[in-house]
Amino acid sequence: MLGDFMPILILMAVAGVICGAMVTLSWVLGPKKVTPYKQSPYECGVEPQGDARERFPIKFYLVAILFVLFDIEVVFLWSWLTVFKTGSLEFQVFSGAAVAVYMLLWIIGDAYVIKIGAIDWDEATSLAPEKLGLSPDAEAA
Amino acid sequence: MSGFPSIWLVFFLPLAGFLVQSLLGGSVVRFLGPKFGRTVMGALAVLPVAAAFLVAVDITVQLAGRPVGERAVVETLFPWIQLFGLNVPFEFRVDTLSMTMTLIITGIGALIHLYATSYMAEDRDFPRFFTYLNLFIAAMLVLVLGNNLVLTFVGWEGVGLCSYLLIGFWYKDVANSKAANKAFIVNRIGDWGFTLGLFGVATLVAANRDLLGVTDPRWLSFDVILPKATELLALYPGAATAIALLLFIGAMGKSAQYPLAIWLPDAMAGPTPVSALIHAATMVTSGVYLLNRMSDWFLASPVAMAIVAGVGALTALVGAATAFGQTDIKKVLAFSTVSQLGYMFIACGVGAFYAGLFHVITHAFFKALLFLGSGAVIHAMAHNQDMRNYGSLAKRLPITYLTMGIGWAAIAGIPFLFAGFWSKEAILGPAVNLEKAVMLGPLTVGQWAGWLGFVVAAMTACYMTRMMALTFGTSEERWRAIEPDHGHHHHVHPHHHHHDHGPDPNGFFMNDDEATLHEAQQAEPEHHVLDRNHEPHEVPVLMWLPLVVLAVFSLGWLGAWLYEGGVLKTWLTGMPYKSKHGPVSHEILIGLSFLTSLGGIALGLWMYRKRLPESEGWDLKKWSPLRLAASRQFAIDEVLGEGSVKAGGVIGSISWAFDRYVVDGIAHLLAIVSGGFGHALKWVQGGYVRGYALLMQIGVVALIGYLIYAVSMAGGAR
Amino acid sequence: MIREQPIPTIDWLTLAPMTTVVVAGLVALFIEMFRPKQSNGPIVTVSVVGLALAGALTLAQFGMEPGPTFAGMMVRDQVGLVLQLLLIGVCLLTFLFSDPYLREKKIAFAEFYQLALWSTAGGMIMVSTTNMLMLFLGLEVLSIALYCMAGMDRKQAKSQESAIKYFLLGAFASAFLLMGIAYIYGPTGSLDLGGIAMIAAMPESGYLTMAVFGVGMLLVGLMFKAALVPFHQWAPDVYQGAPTNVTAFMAAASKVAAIGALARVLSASGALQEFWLPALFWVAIATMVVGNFAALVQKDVKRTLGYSSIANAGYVLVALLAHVKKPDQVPLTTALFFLVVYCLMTVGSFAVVSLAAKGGEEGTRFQDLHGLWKRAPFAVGCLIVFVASLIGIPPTAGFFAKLFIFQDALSTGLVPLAIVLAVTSAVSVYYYLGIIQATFVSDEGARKTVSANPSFGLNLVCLFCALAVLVVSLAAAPVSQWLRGSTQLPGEAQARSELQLDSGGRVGAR
Repeated sequence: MLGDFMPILILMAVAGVICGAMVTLSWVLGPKKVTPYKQSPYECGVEPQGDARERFPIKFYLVAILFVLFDIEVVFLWSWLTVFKTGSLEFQVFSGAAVAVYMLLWIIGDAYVIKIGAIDWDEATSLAPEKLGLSPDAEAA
Repeated sequence: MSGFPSIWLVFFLPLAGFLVQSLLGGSVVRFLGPKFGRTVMGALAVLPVAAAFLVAVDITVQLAGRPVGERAVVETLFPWIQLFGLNVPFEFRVDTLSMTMTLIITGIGALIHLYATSYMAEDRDFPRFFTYLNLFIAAMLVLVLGNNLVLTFVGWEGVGLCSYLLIGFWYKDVANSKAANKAFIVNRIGDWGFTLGLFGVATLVAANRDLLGVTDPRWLSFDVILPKATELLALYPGAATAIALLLFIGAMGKSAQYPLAIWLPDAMAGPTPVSALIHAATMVTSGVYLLNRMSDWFLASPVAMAIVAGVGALTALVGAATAFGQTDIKKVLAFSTVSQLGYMFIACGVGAFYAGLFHVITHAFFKALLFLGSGAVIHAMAHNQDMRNYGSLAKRLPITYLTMGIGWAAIAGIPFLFAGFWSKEAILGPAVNLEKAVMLGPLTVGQWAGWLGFVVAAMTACYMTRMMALTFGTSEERWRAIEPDHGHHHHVHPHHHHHDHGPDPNGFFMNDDEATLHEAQQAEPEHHVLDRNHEPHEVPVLMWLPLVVLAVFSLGWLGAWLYEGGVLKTWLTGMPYKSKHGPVSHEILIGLSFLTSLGGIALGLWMYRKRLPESEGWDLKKWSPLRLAASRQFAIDEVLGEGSVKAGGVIGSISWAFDRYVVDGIAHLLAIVSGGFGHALKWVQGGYVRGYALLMQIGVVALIGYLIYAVSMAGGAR
Repeated sequence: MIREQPIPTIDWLTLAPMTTVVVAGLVALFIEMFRPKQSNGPIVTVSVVGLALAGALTLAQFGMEPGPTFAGMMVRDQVGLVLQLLLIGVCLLTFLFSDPYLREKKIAFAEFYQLALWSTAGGMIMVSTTNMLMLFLGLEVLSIALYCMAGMDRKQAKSQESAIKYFLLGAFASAFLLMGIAYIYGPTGSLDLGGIAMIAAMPESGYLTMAVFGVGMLLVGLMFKAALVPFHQWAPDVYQGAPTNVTAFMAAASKVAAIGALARVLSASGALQEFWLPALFWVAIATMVVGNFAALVQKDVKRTLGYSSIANAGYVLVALLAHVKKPDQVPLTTALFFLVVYCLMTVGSFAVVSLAAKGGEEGTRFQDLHGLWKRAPFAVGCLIVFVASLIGIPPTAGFFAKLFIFQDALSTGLVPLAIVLAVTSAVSVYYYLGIIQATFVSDEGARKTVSANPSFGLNLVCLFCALAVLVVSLAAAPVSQWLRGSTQLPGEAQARSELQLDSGGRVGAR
């Protein structure tokens, strides 16, 4: 019954081959005339300034990750709710208790996140050395 | 048939003592102060051994109350080694032989522990000393009580370790460390024989289990293999000889038989109680124990028996001869021990195994007595061990003199009244009467060994008289001439100085500041040196009390009871004693004993009646060549020790060349290859995640690729 | 419309140990929010009490009827219980010496304790389930906490580097694991490992290739976690970079969990061994060879021990292969015994190495250990025991652990593995002794940092591990007897019944 999956495998293989061929062939066959202007990042006459890979505060990552986590929480709740409506009372009580425990964990986590100031946007307080466990004297040394 | 679970108490008491000494000793002495702390720790060292002795007595009495056939009980503590069909439990064997040894070990051990609390009272490593001593007792008990050769070997190595630690107890002196190393290394040769013998026994039994009908997986245990030994060895006479000889090599190492005897005299570097306990009474007799335990394996090989008897006789003779040339009181006793051990092996070699153990018993008492007595003398003489410095000590050390006198009479073999006579009779009687026909070609080794034993008996009487006369007799008080110079003192016994930086009570080395502090704390209350104002005086009661007890047991009643009534032979062999009459009658033997012992004593008394003879004084040039040779151990030590080093050097340089160009070549090649391999792997480990991921990916592709290949080979995608 | 939703019967006792550990972590988290600065005391106390309770709850389950519980999501058997207990013990031992280390290293975050606790819980789930989704869940709980812990020392680039490396490669490996689960779920519709045997029993179904493929992918994910060659490369870097207490925990706990899960997967796919056994055979050889040879040229102690742990994973893989090859002859006890001994030696060694941290500095090159003997004689004394055991010198438990594996390999016909094990063990003597030698060099000129004084907790850990290594060796037979219990995984009932007939040798009746 591997045959059931065969079309997909063939599709994947064909897609791989075509993509690979397109990239490789154009790289092999395409004429290349390298000039300094072509090598520079912008060819529209403006001198590039600074680094393209800009650094931005780590806060973004932290908030983004927290967002993803809470997002997933909602996804779980969604799937639960779809069966909750139609379940028996016994099931509703049981699964309700299970979800309550589950939510409790999230609430603890949320409280912790707020308490330690993970979503505190004020960099003067959130990035203070003692906040990060770096005592000022250690920094100086 | 009930068992004797209390045997574990006998073993665990000294073991607990060891743990207490090692874990708490230093702290207790620090906390309670050196004087009181050492008293407490001393008591804690003696009590477990004494208690173990009492328990052992109880077990022995119960054992004696049983019918002869039921006097062997096996007690198992836990399953220890379990391999394919082999089961070696941690099990003890309570029987007449093991309990006899246990009584000696714990009884004499307790007395010597008691003595040592006083002897070592000034030593700042007091707890360390008793740590080793208690551990020794525990290891020795494993040796004699173990119910399989593997456990015996554990004890064997354990006592070897303790012996090593105690010989090098005053390790700050390089000479002591070297002596310890020597004992350890020479014993390795013996252990080589023991282990090969053990493997031989195991192989032989394993190969013939079905033949013998051994179904018990504990087929290395004594109660399983010993009853089968005779049947088994009759099938393999060659193997019997090989195994007996290999085990005997082990016994030679531990029990100081020439040529492996060379470590024992050097072992006197240890504290005197150690010499008494380990190097006279107990550990050195473990070879005799082994031969007794494995007696069936020896009886199966006449050749091995002849070699045992021959080596024993040679050792007895050479040991006695060497003793004449010694001026160090402990060295005299050391060679005397070597010589007496020779007697025990003569007994084993002629098949009178029980007589060997009989001599172990009597020798344990009188030799421990003599050693402890010599320790008392040494103590009184401010650790001066040279007999040329002694003289006329009888009136200053009356108790030591009297008790040592009993020991002397016992080892000299004065008939009937003292113990040594009886055990010597028990050995030499069967030997000259050829109780077991021991032949090696035309030479009747056993009989010759017996006759030689009488010669050695005369020599023993003579050199022991010499020792006693030089120490206690004569009217010269030569010790008055000892220079109170510390340098001299240092030279004579360089090990006993307390003011160097050494390890602290935990055995860790101190830096200078700590050492200074430590010295201030440990300042000696009395550092006794003999000079005009200090004269030798009798030792404290804790030291002479053990002497008196041992002296009582060195008297003739013990020997007479054990021998004449046949108590010991019945006890050990289960066979009733009956007086046998060979070609040499009982009367002649006793007459010979009279002649040899009294003659030897008379000769000695006559030679040393007045003073230290010029011919063995301080000027070595006046010594006779023979005595000079004896003082140098007839060069046996040099030949074997340094000679083996030199011969080793020659072999070494040959093998060095081989090693350098062939083995090293290969090894270097291997090292270069493995190092290069390692470096290559290091190169793969570049540190970049992309590299790691790539390798993982390669691994996945290889794995999955292989799996798909394997499936397709097995019939394609099914 | 009301639908009947099944409600599983729940055996709360099975869940109790890991729940206890998780709750202990939560309580510790609460304390962390309100704790007084600079004192981790309450957190450590709560963690230790929680672990002790979890240990007791685990012990209480020994001897209970083995079998699946919680609707097949969890399983209670001897292997799972032993490994859970081992994980709890590892966590406890790590905690005992962590606080002084974190203080010396100036790592102010007490999150270590919570993360380690949750990581332990993840590992406990991993070793006591045959459900692949639970396996994945446990693995991720274990791993994500470990990624965070590895990067806990924010001031040190090495620590950061190790965390990100571990995370990236770990994610990569998890993807393979999930892929494998999908490939087995596809044809069977079951998330239980038993599905593999189902497919294998019906070769005519045509799903064999998929099942083999899936097993291969599963193995990749777990072999990564166990650091088997060629999925090992993260190990030395992460071990070196992570704070030493984390390394100790990681080296022991993550290996135990991964090997436990690997044992279940391999046992469950025993019917397909004709396909994967040759591959794993070479993986074992490569792991032992690479681990030991690469360790020869290292200059950092933690890195050396990292390679050593790779090599040890190779040894234990040999035990697993021997078991899977002849489950009726060779019980899983050998692997369990090895894991117990391995955890003791590893946690002990890393505890001693953690002495290299003082005043926020830490040097773990070999020369940084110079003179440690004088500063911490007891710890170094114990280190000698650990190293002797790692080498496999007779009076230590490591000897028996290797000996048992050696015997198993011989008795199941995996002779080349036995030979490679012996040879590479001989090679390992060189680098292990190098560690000891370094501590005895008195010239401290080459060292960059000063080592800390051993704390009470550290000495306790050293004493416990060293004593245990010696005691386990003395009592090798009773210990393996106890570990044996009923160390057969579900699906081996037939093998079990045969076992009871065999009374000779180490394979005693239970």
